[in-house]
Amino acid sequence: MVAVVTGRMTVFAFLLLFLVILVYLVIIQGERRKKFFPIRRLPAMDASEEAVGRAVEMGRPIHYTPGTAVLTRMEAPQTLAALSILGYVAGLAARNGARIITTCQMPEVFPMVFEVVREAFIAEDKLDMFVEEDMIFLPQLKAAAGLMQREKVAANFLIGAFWHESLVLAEAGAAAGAINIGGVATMHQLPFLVACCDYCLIGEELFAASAYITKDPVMTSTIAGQDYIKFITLALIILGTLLSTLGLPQLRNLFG
Amino acid sequence: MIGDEIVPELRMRDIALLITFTLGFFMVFEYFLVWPEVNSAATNFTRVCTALAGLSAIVGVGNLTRTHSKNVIRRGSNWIPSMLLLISLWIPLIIGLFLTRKDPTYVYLYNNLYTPVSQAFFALLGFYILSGAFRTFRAKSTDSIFLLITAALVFMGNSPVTGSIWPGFQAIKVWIMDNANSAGYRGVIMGVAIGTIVTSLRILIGRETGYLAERRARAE
Amino acid sequence: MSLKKISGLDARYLYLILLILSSIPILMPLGLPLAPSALTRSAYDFIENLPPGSVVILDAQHSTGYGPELGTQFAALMKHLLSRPLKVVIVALGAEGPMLVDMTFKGSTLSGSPINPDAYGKVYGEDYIFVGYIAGGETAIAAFARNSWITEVDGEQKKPLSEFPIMEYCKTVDDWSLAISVSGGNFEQMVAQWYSAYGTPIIFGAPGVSAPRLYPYIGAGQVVAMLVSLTGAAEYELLIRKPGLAASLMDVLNLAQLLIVASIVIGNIIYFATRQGGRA
Repeated sequence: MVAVVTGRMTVFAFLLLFLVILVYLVIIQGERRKKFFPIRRLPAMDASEEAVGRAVEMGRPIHYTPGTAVLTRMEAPQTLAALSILGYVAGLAARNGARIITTCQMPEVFPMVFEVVREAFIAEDKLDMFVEEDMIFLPQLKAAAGLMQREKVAANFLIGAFWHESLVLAEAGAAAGAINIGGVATMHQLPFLVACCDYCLIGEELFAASAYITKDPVMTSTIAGQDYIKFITLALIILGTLLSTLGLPQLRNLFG
Repeated sequence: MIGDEIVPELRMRDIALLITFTLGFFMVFEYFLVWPEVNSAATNFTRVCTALAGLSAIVGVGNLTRTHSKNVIRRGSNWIPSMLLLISLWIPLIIGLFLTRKDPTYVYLYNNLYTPVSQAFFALLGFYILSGAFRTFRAKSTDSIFLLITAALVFMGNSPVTGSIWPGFQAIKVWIMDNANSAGYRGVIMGVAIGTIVTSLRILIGRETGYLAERRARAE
Repeated sequence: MSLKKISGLDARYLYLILLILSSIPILMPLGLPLAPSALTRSAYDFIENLPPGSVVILDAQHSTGYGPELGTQFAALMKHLLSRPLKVVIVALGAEGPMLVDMTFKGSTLSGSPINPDAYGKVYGEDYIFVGYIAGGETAIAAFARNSWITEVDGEQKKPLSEFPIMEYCKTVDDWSLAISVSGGNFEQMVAQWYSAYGTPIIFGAPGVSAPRLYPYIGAGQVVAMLVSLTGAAEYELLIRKPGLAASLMDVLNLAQLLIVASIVIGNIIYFATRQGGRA
């Protein structure tokens, strides 16, 4: 006999609602009608071209790391979002002739990082510029601090889910004279990266970045879906607060 | 890629996305269902994924060994640290395969090699916080002035010395953390949680494929 | 030395000042005052008020890197739990957990002096047990709640859990009165898998950098209380009247915090002074 777990029915219903909203926007609006939902400026992504240009002018490499969240963690979507952005940055680097050093702490993500960068170079017809030795696996990402200072990187991209190493890497990049571009959705590292980076993707901007870069109707539709879901959540919060204040806890109890 | 000669690359991608879709939604819906056969299958599948993730450590070990042994053989730059890395990688690995955590040799290596190095790495954070605070905490605008004042009040509340001078610092800090800090974090937490859900759904329905290293058309 | 020179000072001079300031209290303890905070007191009171025979889960999910910050929290919590008539089930949901549990009992630079359960009148297998390490991250957290016998053998003697009387009282999360997790960064997973799913009271031991993000959960009642950083450990040691490593290191923390405040103030003075000079 199949049943829904007690206390999870409401969450299940909302998950289905989110799925319906997302599928509608992606398939109907995005794929069929090719409707483009504009995304506000993300200074961190606009600065990426500037950062790569700076690296080319100075003749110094770029450093990129997609964070430290393994794929079995709930922060894994941040890692995957970081890989999308890596493809973009690697493409910029290949197009402009900049050297890109990519460090990665997660062994199961390392092959993906390798392939993303390699494919970006192939797409720009610059496979001869791709250096395998610049794809570096580091068991402790903090070791990239020394690497950045030795290589004197001109641009330092810290995009993904970080823990305590974020501040070390940001400071090391600053000490090497690099422009720091961060992007993180892990709460505890937000303050450090926002304070120490020149530009930073804050929270869900990390997930919107790939849509912002590609300007693809399907991707921007998912961001619009994200915002619609947020509006629904906000409405529920306001309604629940009002009802609870009036002594009607039914909506609050519905969510356990 | 293996299979490309037999199966066109496009079909392999579609198979990968189909597996992601099927198993991903299976795991999502399993969380909400009381269905013993499905729950048991999900638990076993999770164990398989955990084992696979563990096996992926071999990739990392292999990469480190290959890169650094090339450096040692060629006597490249920093070949001595490379050699030290290889020794400190393989010897504890081999010892750990044959000894238990109670073995004195294993305990000695853990306490005297791994623990001090690990702590030294984390201790770097304290130094970098100091240099970061000196470099970046400047009152350049109204927002940063508010930030500095708040940070100073929280510092005063956190430090037991200043807390003993005037208990009001503790009360102010508690108010800031319980109200201002919590409000800000709640907003960001909710945004990130929704973003995570949507990104995950995007991955499951095959609309987020950046991680597949697909050859992108050059952006105009 | 001009202000401009100080502003462009090599960061290593700052590190040297911090190193010297940190070393002074270790060589000459200053005995700066310390009073327990409301948050630490909440954690202490909750454990103190648990009925005799309550099952408490103590999870070692931290790592050696966090050093005494979390090691001392774990030790102080262990001492308190062993001093009360409770059934303590120790589990390691982090890979370094088993070694850290050993180090806590034997004494180390991370946790302070050894803990001897015999001195508390506790018997392994009856009053406390270590069920070992469970791999898998969040799935392990969820799995342990569904089945607390998931490891099948204990982590100390490698015997089947059925041979230990304490495990008759701890089969699933429904038997838990409290779950305590000392962790470096995994908190939301416990809230999701233990509180949201089953309503289990949770106390966290958290490092300083993670504490701000946990206040919303405490405010919402999803987490009972938490120990924050070395300060929380030192406060807890005072509450259980067993001052140890954490209390002795508080002087170092105090001076370091004051140095950071001073560096912010000096940095801003230099910024305003050089900006004024630039304008003139």
